Amino acid sequence: MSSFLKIKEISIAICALLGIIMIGQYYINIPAISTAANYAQIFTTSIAGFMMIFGTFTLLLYNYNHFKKKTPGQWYLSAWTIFLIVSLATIGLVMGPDHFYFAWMFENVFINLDTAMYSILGFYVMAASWRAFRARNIDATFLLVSGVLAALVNAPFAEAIFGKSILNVGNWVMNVPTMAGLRTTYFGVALGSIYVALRTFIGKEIGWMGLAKEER
Amino acid sequence: MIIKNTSQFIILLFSMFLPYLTLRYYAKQVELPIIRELPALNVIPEMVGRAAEMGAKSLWIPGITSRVDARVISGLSILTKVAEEVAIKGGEIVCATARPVFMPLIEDAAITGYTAGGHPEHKPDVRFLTDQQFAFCAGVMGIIDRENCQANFYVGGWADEALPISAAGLAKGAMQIAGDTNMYQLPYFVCTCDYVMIAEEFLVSGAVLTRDKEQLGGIIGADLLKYALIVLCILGIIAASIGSNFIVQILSY
Repeated sequence: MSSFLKIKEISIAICALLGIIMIGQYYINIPAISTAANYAQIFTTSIAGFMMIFGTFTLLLYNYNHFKKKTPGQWYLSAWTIFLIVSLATIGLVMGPDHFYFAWMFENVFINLDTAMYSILGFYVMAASWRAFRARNIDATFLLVSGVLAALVNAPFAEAIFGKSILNVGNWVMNVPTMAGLRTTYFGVALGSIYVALRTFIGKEIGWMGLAKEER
Repeated sequence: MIIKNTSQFIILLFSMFLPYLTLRYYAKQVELPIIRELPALNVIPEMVGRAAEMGAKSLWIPGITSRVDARVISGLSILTKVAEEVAIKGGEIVCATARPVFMPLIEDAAITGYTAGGHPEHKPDVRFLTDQQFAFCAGVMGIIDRENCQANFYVGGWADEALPISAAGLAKGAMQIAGDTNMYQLPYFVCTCDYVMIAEEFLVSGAVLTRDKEQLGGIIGADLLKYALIVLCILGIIAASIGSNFIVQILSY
Protein backbone atom coordinates (compact mmCIF):
# COMPACT_ATOMS: atom_id res chain seq x y z
CA MET A 1 0.00 0.00 0.00
CA SER A 2 1.31 3.46 -0.81
CA SER A 3 2.22 5.78 2.06
CA PHE A 4 -0.64 8.11 1.10
CA LEU A 5 -3.26 5.37 1.45
CA LYS A 6 -1.63 4.27 4.71
CA ILE A 7 -2.81 7.50 6.33
CA LYS A 8 -5.26 6.15 8.88
CA GLU A 9 -7.90 8.83 8.52
CA ILE A 10 -8.19 8.39 4.72
CA SER A 11 -8.72 4.63 4.98
CA ILE A 12 -11.31 5.08 7.73
CA ALA A 13 -13.09 7.84 5.77
CA ILE A 14 -13.33 5.66 2.60
CA CYS A 15 -14.55 2.70 4.64
CA ALA A 16 -17.14 4.75 6.57
CA LEU A 17 -18.38 6.57 3.46
CA LEU A 18 -18.93 3.33 1.52
CA GLY A 19 -20.56 1.72 4.55
CA ILE A 20 -22.95 4.65 5.03
CA ILE A 21 -23.84 4.61 1.30
CA MET A 22 -24.57 0.86 1.37
CA ILE A 23 -26.72 1.17 4.50
CA GLY A 24 -28.25 4.43 3.28
CA GLN A 25 -29.68 2.92 0.07
CA TYR A 26 -31.97 0.82 2.26
CA TYR A 27 -33.22 3.67 4.45
CA ILE A 28 -32.84 6.94 2.54
CA ASN A 29 -34.98 7.76 -0.47
CA ILE A 30 -32.49 9.80 -2.48
CA PRO A 31 -31.74 8.47 -6.02
CA ALA A 32 -28.10 9.63 -5.86
CA ILE A 33 -27.44 7.30 -2.91
CA SER A 34 -28.98 4.30 -4.71
CA THR A 35 -26.90 5.09 -7.81
CA ALA A 36 -23.74 5.41 -5.72
CA ALA A 37 -24.52 2.08 -4.00
CA ASN A 38 -25.02 0.39 -7.39
CA TYR A 39 -21.69 1.75 -8.62
CA ALA A 40 -20.01 0.58 -5.40
CA GLN A 41 -21.35 -2.92 -6.00
CA ILE A 42 -20.13 -2.88 -9.62
CA PHE A 43 -16.68 -1.74 -8.42
CA THR A 44 -16.66 -4.52 -5.82
CA THR A 45 -17.53 -7.17 -8.42
CA SER A 46 -14.85 -5.85 -10.79
CA ILE A 47 -12.22 -5.81 -8.06
CA ALA A 48 -13.19 -9.37 -7.04
CA GLY A 49 -12.76 -10.46 -10.68
CA PHE A 50 -9.29 -8.93 -10.91
CA MET A 51 -8.35 -10.40 -7.56
CA MET A 52 -9.26 -13.87 -8.83
CA ILE A 53 -6.55 -13.46 -11.52
CA PHE A 54 -4.15 -12.24 -8.82
CA GLY A 55 -5.08 -15.19 -6.58
CA THR A 56 -4.52 -17.72 -9.36
CA PHE A 57 -1.16 -16.13 -10.11
CA THR A 58 -0.07 -16.37 -6.45
CA LEU A 59 -1.26 -20.00 -6.37
CA LEU A 60 0.85 -20.81 -9.45
CA LEU A 61 3.84 -18.97 -8.00
CA TYR A 62 3.56 -20.75 -4.64
CA ASN A 63 3.40 -24.17 -6.30
CA TYR A 64 6.14 -23.31 -8.78
CA ASN A 65 8.48 -22.46 -5.88
CA HIS A 66 7.78 -25.82 -4.24
CA PHE A 67 8.32 -27.60 -7.54
CA LYS A 68 11.58 -25.72 -8.14
CA LYS A 69 12.90 -26.46 -4.64
CA LYS A 70 11.72 -30.11 -4.86
CA THR A 71 10.10 -29.77 -1.39
CA PRO A 72 9.74 -33.31 0.03
CA GLY A 73 6.13 -34.52 0.10
CA GLN A 74 4.93 -31.44 -1.74
CA TRP A 75 6.69 -30.97 -5.10
CA TYR A 76 4.75 -33.62 -7.04
CA LEU A 77 1.43 -32.26 -5.72
CA SER A 78 2.52 -28.78 -6.80
CA ALA A 79 3.47 -30.10 -10.26
CA TRP A 80 0.06 -31.74 -10.59
CA THR A 81 -1.70 -28.52 -9.49
CA ILE A 82 0.25 -26.43 -12.03
CA PHE A 83 -0.51 -28.96 -14.78
CA LEU A 84 -4.24 -28.93 -14.02
CA ILE A 85 -4.53 -25.13 -13.76
CA VAL A 86 -2.57 -24.51 -16.96
CA SER A 87 -4.28 -27.25 -18.98
CA LEU A 88 -7.81 -26.30 -17.90
CA ALA A 89 -7.17 -22.58 -18.42
CA THR A 90 -5.62 -23.21 -21.85
CA ILE A 91 -8.50 -25.39 -23.03
CA GLY A 92 -11.05 -22.92 -21.66
CA LEU A 93 -9.38 -19.85 -23.17
CA VAL A 94 -8.47 -21.36 -26.56
CA MET A 95 -11.45 -23.61 -27.25
CA GLY A 96 -14.08 -21.86 -25.13
CA PRO A 97 -15.93 -22.98 -22.00
CA ASP A 98 -18.56 -24.87 -24.03
CA HIS A 99 -16.01 -27.10 -25.73
CA PHE A 100 -16.29 -30.86 -25.17
CA TYR A 101 -12.86 -31.24 -23.52
CA PHE A 102 -13.47 -28.41 -21.04
CA ALA A 103 -17.00 -29.61 -20.24
CA TRP A 104 -15.74 -33.21 -19.90
CA MET A 105 -13.04 -32.24 -17.39
CA PHE A 106 -15.51 -30.17 -15.40
CA GLU A 107 -18.40 -32.64 -15.39
CA ASN A 108 -16.47 -35.91 -15.15
CA VAL A 109 -13.57 -34.90 -12.94
CA PHE A 110 -14.36 -31.83 -10.86
CA ILE A 111 -18.04 -32.50 -10.08
CA ASN A 112 -17.33 -36.12 -9.10
CA LEU A 113 -14.51 -35.14 -6.76
CA ASP A 114 -16.62 -32.34 -5.27
CA THR A 115 -19.52 -34.72 -4.66
CA ALA A 116 -17.18 -37.29 -3.12
CA MET A 117 -15.87 -34.70 -0.65
CA TYR A 118 -19.42 -33.72 0.24
CA SER A 119 -20.35 -37.36 0.79
CA ILE A 120 -17.48 -37.80 3.26
CA LEU A 121 -19.26 -35.22 5.41
CA GLY A 122 -21.76 -37.92 6.45
CA PHE A 123 -19.03 -39.96 8.13
CA TYR A 124 -17.69 -36.89 9.92
CA VAL A 125 -21.20 -36.08 11.18
CA MET A 126 -21.46 -39.63 12.57
CA ALA A 127 -18.07 -39.32 14.30
CA ALA A 128 -19.01 -35.91 15.74
CA SER A 129 -22.37 -37.27 16.96
CA TRP A 130 -20.58 -40.17 18.65
CA ARG A 131 -18.40 -37.71 20.58
CA ALA A 132 -21.28 -35.36 21.44
CA PHE A 133 -24.00 -37.87 22.38
CA ARG A 134 -22.48 -39.25 25.57
CA ALA A 135 -24.50 -38.83 28.74
CA ARG A 136 -21.60 -37.71 30.94
CA ASN A 137 -23.64 -35.23 32.98
CA ILE A 138 -27.16 -33.80 33.14
CA ASP A 139 -26.51 -31.22 30.35
CA ALA A 140 -25.09 -33.88 28.04
CA THR A 141 -28.09 -36.09 28.80
CA PHE A 142 -30.46 -33.31 27.68
CA LEU A 143 -28.40 -32.98 24.50
CA LEU A 144 -28.53 -36.74 23.93
CA VAL A 145 -32.33 -36.94 24.38
CA SER A 146 -32.95 -33.88 22.16
CA GLY A 147 -30.57 -35.21 19.52
CA VAL A 148 -32.23 -38.64 19.47
CA LEU A 149 -35.69 -37.01 19.18
CA ALA A 150 -34.51 -34.75 16.32
CA ALA A 151 -33.01 -37.80 14.56
CA LEU A 152 -36.21 -39.80 15.00
CA VAL A 153 -38.33 -36.98 13.52
CA ASN A 154 -36.25 -37.17 10.36
CA ALA A 155 -36.08 -40.99 10.20
CA PRO A 156 -38.80 -42.62 8.03
CA PHE A 157 -39.22 -45.64 10.35
CA ALA A 158 -39.86 -43.63 13.55
CA GLU A 159 -43.58 -43.08 12.88
CA ALA A 160 -44.10 -46.76 11.96
CA ILE A 161 -42.51 -47.99 15.20
CA PHE A 162 -43.41 -45.34 17.80
CA GLY A 163 -46.54 -43.80 16.26
CA LYS A 164 -47.39 -40.14 15.66
CA SER A 165 -46.69 -39.05 19.24
CA ILE A 166 -42.91 -39.29 18.80
CA LEU A 167 -43.13 -36.92 15.83
CA ASN A 168 -45.13 -34.43 17.90
CA VAL A 169 -42.56 -34.49 20.70
CA GLY A 170 -39.67 -34.20 18.25
CA ASN A 171 -41.31 -31.32 16.38
CA TRP A 172 -42.00 -29.56 19.69
CA VAL A 173 -38.29 -29.79 20.62
CA MET A 174 -37.35 -28.34 17.21
CA ASN A 175 -40.00 -25.60 17.12
CA VAL A 176 -40.11 -24.37 20.73
CA PRO A 177 -36.88 -24.70 22.80
CA THR A 178 -34.53 -24.86 19.79
CA MET A 179 -36.22 -21.94 18.04
CA ALA A 180 -36.23 -19.87 21.25
CA GLY A 181 -32.50 -20.47 21.70
CA LEU A 182 -31.75 -19.65 18.07
CA ARG A 183 -33.73 -16.40 18.15
CA THR A 184 -32.00 -15.12 21.28
CA THR A 185 -28.68 -15.85 19.61
CA TYR A 186 -29.79 -13.98 16.48
CA PHE A 187 -30.59 -10.93 18.67
CA GLY A 188 -27.01 -11.05 19.95
CA VAL A 189 -25.59 -11.52 16.44
CA ALA A 190 -27.55 -8.53 15.11
CA LEU A 191 -26.42 -6.28 17.96
CA GLY A 192 -22.85 -7.56 17.69
CA SER A 193 -22.79 -6.88 13.93
CA ILE A 194 -24.09 -3.36 14.48
CA TYR A 195 -21.38 -2.79 17.10
CA VAL A 196 -18.65 -4.06 14.73
CA ALA A 197 -20.01 -1.66 12.05
CA LEU A 198 -19.97 1.20 14.56
CA ARG A 199 -16.38 0.46 15.61
CA THR A 200 -15.29 0.24 11.98
CA PHE A 201 -17.01 3.50 10.96
CA ILE A 202 -15.56 5.53 13.84
CA GLY A 203 -12.09 4.09 13.26
CA LYS A 204 -11.70 1.90 16.34
CA GLU A 205 -11.46 -1.40 14.43
CA ILE A 206 -8.26 -0.86 12.45
CA GLY A 207 -6.41 -4.17 12.71
CA TRP A 208 -6.99 -4.83 8.99
CA MET A 209 -5.11 -1.68 7.92
CA GLY A 210 -1.61 -3.04 8.48
CA LEU A 211 -0.48 -0.10 10.60
CA ALA A 212 2.54 -0.05 12.86
CA LYS A 213 1.89 0.39 16.60
CA GLU A 214 2.83 4.06 16.59
CA GLU A 215 0.51 4.75 13.63
CA ARG A 216 -2.55 3.24 15.31
CA MET B 1 -40.59 11.19 2.23
CA ILE B 2 -36.81 11.02 2.38
CA ILE B 3 -36.64 8.24 5.00
CA LYS B 4 -38.03 4.84 4.03
CA ASN B 5 -38.42 1.82 6.35
CA THR B 6 -38.81 4.38 9.14
CA SER B 7 -39.21 2.07 12.15
CA GLN B 8 -36.20 -0.05 11.18
CA PHE B 9 -34.16 3.12 10.62
CA ILE B 10 -35.03 4.39 14.11
CA ILE B 11 -34.12 1.01 15.63
CA LEU B 12 -30.79 0.99 13.76
CA LEU B 13 -29.93 4.52 14.93
CA PHE B 14 -30.88 3.64 18.51
CA SER B 15 -28.83 0.41 18.31
CA MET B 16 -25.77 2.40 17.23
CA PHE B 17 -26.38 5.40 19.48
CA LEU B 18 -26.51 3.58 22.83
CA PRO B 19 -23.17 1.70 22.38
CA TYR B 20 -21.67 4.98 21.10
CA LEU B 21 -22.84 6.81 24.25
CA THR B 22 -21.33 4.20 26.58
CA LEU B 23 -18.17 4.16 24.44
CA ARG B 24 -17.79 7.94 24.89
CA TYR B 25 -18.66 7.67 28.60
CA TYR B 26 -15.94 5.08 29.30
CA ALA B 27 -13.42 7.09 27.25
CA LYS B 28 -13.46 9.64 30.11
CA GLN B 29 -13.13 7.01 32.85
CA VAL B 30 -9.80 5.89 34.27
CA GLU B 31 -10.49 2.21 34.96
CA LEU B 32 -11.35 -0.52 32.49
CA PRO B 33 -15.00 -1.56 32.48
CA ILE B 34 -15.55 -5.11 33.76
CA ILE B 35 -16.28 -7.49 30.90
CA ARG B 36 -16.56 -11.28 31.23
CA GLU B 37 -13.31 -13.02 30.23
CA LEU B 38 -13.42 -15.04 27.00
CA PRO B 39 -11.40 -18.26 27.59
CA ALA B 40 -10.90 -18.71 23.84
CA LEU B 41 -8.99 -15.43 23.66
CA ASN B 42 -7.00 -15.98 26.86
CA VAL B 43 -5.62 -19.26 25.54
CA ILE B 44 -4.16 -17.83 22.29
CA PRO B 45 -0.63 -17.25 23.75
CA GLU B 46 -0.58 -20.81 25.15
CA MET B 47 -1.67 -22.29 21.81
CA VAL B 48 0.91 -20.40 19.78
CA GLY B 49 3.62 -21.15 22.35
CA ARG B 50 2.78 -24.87 22.30
CA ALA B 51 2.93 -24.95 18.50
CA ALA B 52 6.25 -23.08 18.52
CA GLU B 53 7.74 -25.51 21.06
CA MET B 54 6.63 -28.45 18.92
CA GLY B 55 8.22 -26.88 15.84
CA ALA B 56 4.75 -26.84 14.28
CA LYS B 57 2.83 -24.11 12.47
CA SER B 58 -0.27 -22.13 13.36
CA LEU B 59 -3.16 -21.98 10.90
CA TRP B 60 -5.72 -19.19 10.51
CA ILE B 61 -8.72 -19.48 8.17
CA PRO B 62 -11.63 -17.05 7.66
CA GLY B 63 -13.96 -19.71 6.23
CA ILE B 64 -15.70 -19.76 2.87
CA THR B 65 -17.71 -16.54 3.16
CA SER B 66 -17.40 -14.29 0.12
CA ARG B 67 -17.99 -10.91 1.82
CA VAL B 68 -15.88 -8.93 4.23
CA ASP B 69 -18.58 -8.80 6.90
CA ALA B 70 -18.56 -8.47 10.69
CA ARG B 71 -17.37 -12.07 11.07
CA VAL B 72 -14.33 -11.58 8.85
CA ILE B 73 -13.44 -8.28 10.53
CA SER B 74 -13.60 -10.01 13.94
CA GLY B 75 -11.52 -12.89 12.55
CA LEU B 76 -8.91 -10.40 11.33
CA SER B 77 -8.67 -8.91 14.85
CA ILE B 78 -7.90 -12.40 16.15
CA LEU B 79 -5.32 -12.88 13.38
CA THR B 80 -3.59 -9.68 14.52
CA LYS B 81 -3.31 -11.11 18.05
CA VAL B 82 -2.12 -14.51 16.77
CA ALA B 83 0.52 -12.88 14.56
CA GLU B 84 1.70 -10.80 17.51
CA GLU B 85 2.10 -13.95 19.61
CA VAL B 86 3.88 -15.72 16.73
CA ALA B 87 6.30 -12.78 16.48
CA ILE B 88 7.00 -13.00 20.23
CA LYS B 89 7.13 -16.78 20.67
CA GLY B 90 8.47 -17.85 17.29
CA GLY B 91 7.03 -20.28 14.78
CA GLU B 92 5.06 -19.61 11.65
CA ILE B 93 1.47 -18.85 10.77
CA VAL B 94 -0.24 -20.03 7.59
CA CYS B 95 -3.32 -18.07 6.46
CA ALA B 96 -5.45 -19.92 3.90
CA THR B 97 -8.36 -18.26 2.12
CA ALA B 98 -10.94 -19.17 -0.50
CA ARG B 99 -11.39 -15.53 -1.56
CA PRO B 100 -8.47 -13.72 -3.16
CA VAL B 101 -10.11 -10.39 -2.37
CA PHE B 102 -9.34 -11.06 1.33
CA MET B 103 -5.62 -11.49 0.70
CA PRO B 104 -4.50 -7.85 1.13
CA LEU B 105 -6.59 -7.53 4.31
CA ILE B 106 -5.14 -10.74 5.76
CA GLU B 107 -1.63 -9.66 4.86
CA ASP B 108 -2.12 -6.23 6.48
CA ALA B 109 -3.66 -7.72 9.64
CA ALA B 110 -0.73 -10.15 9.97
CA ILE B 111 1.78 -7.34 9.42
CA THR B 112 0.02 -5.30 12.13
CA GLY B 113 0.45 -8.25 14.52
CA TYR B 114 4.07 -8.90 13.58
CA THR B 115 4.85 -5.19 14.04
CA ALA B 116 3.15 -5.14 17.44
CA GLY B 117 5.20 -8.23 18.40
CA GLY B 118 8.45 -6.49 17.48
CA HIS B 119 9.14 -8.24 14.17
CA PRO B 120 7.94 -6.00 11.32
CA GLU B 121 10.34 -7.80 8.93
CA HIS B 122 8.30 -11.06 9.03
CA LYS B 123 6.49 -11.86 5.77
CA PRO B 124 3.00 -13.29 6.22
CA ASP B 125 2.30 -16.63 4.51
CA VAL B 126 -1.10 -15.95 2.89
CA ARG B 127 -2.34 -18.63 0.49
CA PHE B 128 -5.26 -18.60 -1.89
CA LEU B 129 -6.25 -22.22 -2.52
CA THR B 130 -9.45 -22.18 -4.57
CA ASP B 131 -12.90 -20.61 -4.43
CA GLN B 132 -14.66 -23.99 -4.66
CA GLN B 133 -15.99 -25.05 -1.26
CA PHE B 134 -14.97 -28.71 -1.04
CA ALA B 135 -11.78 -28.28 -3.03
CA PHE B 136 -10.84 -25.62 -0.46
CA CYS B 137 -11.82 -28.04 2.30
CA ALA B 138 -9.56 -30.77 0.84
CA GLY B 139 -6.72 -28.26 0.39
CA VAL B 140 -6.87 -27.09 4.01
CA MET B 141 -7.06 -30.68 5.30
CA GLY B 142 -3.91 -31.37 3.27
CA ILE B 143 -2.13 -28.34 4.77
CA ILE B 144 -3.06 -29.41 8.33
CA ASP B 145 -1.71 -32.91 7.69
CA ARG B 146 1.42 -32.16 5.65
CA GLU B 147 2.60 -29.04 7.47
CA ASN B 148 1.67 -30.27 10.98
CA CYS B 149 -0.48 -27.30 12.04
CA GLN B 150 -0.91 -27.51 15.83
CA ALA B 151 -2.62 -24.20 16.64
CA ASN B 152 -5.64 -23.77 14.41
CA PHE B 153 -7.96 -20.75 14.32
CA TYR B 154 -11.23 -21.18 12.41
CA VAL B 155 -12.67 -17.69 12.73
CA GLY B 156 -14.97 -16.19 10.12
CA GLY B 157 -17.95 -17.29 8.06
CA TRP B 158 -18.23 -21.05 7.78
CA ALA B 159 -20.47 -23.51 5.97
CA ASP B 160 -20.33 -27.28 5.38
CA GLU B 161 -16.53 -27.33 5.22
CA ALA B 162 -16.38 -26.55 8.97
CA LEU B 163 -16.64 -30.14 10.19
CA PRO B 164 -14.13 -31.93 7.89
CA ILE B 165 -11.49 -29.23 8.40
CA SER B 166 -11.84 -29.08 12.19
CA ALA B 167 -11.99 -32.90 12.37
CA ALA B 168 -8.70 -33.05 10.43
CA GLY B 169 -7.15 -30.76 13.06
CA LEU B 170 -8.58 -32.90 15.86
CA ALA B 171 -7.13 -36.06 14.30
CA LYS B 172 -3.74 -34.32 14.18
CA GLY B 173 -3.95 -33.52 17.91
CA ALA B 174 -4.01 -29.75 17.38
CA MET B 175 -5.39 -27.16 19.79
CA GLN B 176 -8.21 -25.41 18.01
CA ILE B 177 -10.31 -22.27 18.42
CA ALA B 178 -13.42 -21.59 16.35
CA GLY B 179 -15.70 -18.58 16.06
CA ASP B 180 -18.74 -18.07 13.89
CA THR B 181 -22.30 -16.75 13.95
CA ASN B 182 -23.71 -19.56 11.79
CA MET B 183 -25.72 -21.57 14.32
CA TYR B 184 -25.80 -24.60 12.02
CA GLN B 185 -22.02 -25.03 12.03
CA LEU B 186 -21.28 -24.16 15.66
CA PRO B 187 -22.36 -27.59 17.03
CA TYR B 188 -19.74 -29.24 14.81
CA PHE B 189 -17.11 -26.85 16.07
CA VAL B 190 -18.14 -27.62 19.65
CA CYS B 191 -17.54 -31.32 18.94
CA THR B 192 -14.12 -30.86 17.39
CA CYS B 193 -12.52 -27.71 18.84
CA ASP B 194 -11.10 -26.94 22.29
CA TYR B 195 -12.66 -23.47 22.51
CA VAL B 196 -15.59 -22.00 20.58
CA MET B 197 -16.75 -18.41 20.48
CA ILE B 198 -20.48 -18.48 19.96
CA ALA B 199 -22.14 -15.73 17.93
CA GLU B 200 -21.86 -12.37 19.74
CA GLU B 201 -18.85 -13.51 21.79
CA PHE B 202 -16.99 -13.78 18.51
CA LEU B 203 -18.16 -10.41 17.20
CA VAL B 204 -16.95 -8.53 20.30
CA SER B 205 -13.62 -10.38 20.38
CA GLY B 206 -11.90 -7.56 18.47
CA ALA B 207 -12.87 -5.07 21.17
CA VAL B 208 -11.93 -7.44 24.01
CA LEU B 209 -8.49 -8.14 22.53
CA THR B 210 -7.56 -4.45 22.38
CA ARG B 211 -8.23 -3.97 26.14
CA ASP B 212 -9.25 -0.46 25.09
CA LYS B 213 -11.66 1.01 27.66
CA GLU B 214 -13.69 2.85 24.99
CA GLN B 215 -14.31 -0.31 22.94
CA LEU B 216 -15.07 -2.36 26.06
CA GLY B 217 -17.47 0.39 27.15
CA GLY B 218 -19.32 0.05 23.84
CA ILE B 219 -19.96 -3.62 24.62
CA ILE B 220 -21.76 -2.51 27.77
CA GLY B 221 -24.01 -0.33 25.58
CA ALA B 222 -24.79 -3.34 23.37
CA ASP B 223 -25.60 -5.35 26.51
CA LEU B 224 -27.97 -2.62 27.73
CA LEU B 225 -29.78 -2.94 24.40
CA LYS B 226 -30.13 -6.65 25.04
CA TYR B 227 -31.71 -5.95 28.41
CA ALA B 228 -34.13 -3.57 26.66
CA LEU B 229 -35.01 -6.35 24.20
CA ILE B 230 -35.61 -8.81 27.05
CA VAL B 231 -37.96 -6.31 28.73
CA LEU B 232 -39.74 -5.81 25.39
CA CYS B 233 -40.13 -9.59 24.97
CA ILE B 234 -41.59 -9.95 28.49
CA LEU B 235 -44.00 -7.05 27.87
CA GLY B 236 -45.00 -8.67 24.56
CA ILE B 237 -45.69 -12.00 26.28
CA ILE B 238 -47.82 -10.30 28.97
CA ALA B 239 -49.69 -8.18 26.40
CA ALA B 240 -50.38 -11.17 24.14
CA SER B 241 -51.56 -13.22 27.15
CA ILE B 242 -54.19 -10.62 28.07
CA GLY B 243 -55.29 -10.31 24.43
CA SER B 244 -53.65 -6.97 23.58
CA ASN B 245 -51.54 -6.40 20.47
CA PHE B 246 -50.20 -3.06 21.72
CA ILE B 247 -46.50 -4.07 21.50
CA VAL B 248 -47.00 -5.56 18.02
CA GLN B 249 -48.61 -2.31 16.85
CA ILE B 250 -45.71 -0.26 18.22
CA LEU B 251 -43.15 -2.48 16.49
CA SER B 252 -45.13 -2.48 13.20
CA TYR B 253 -45.22 1.34 13.07
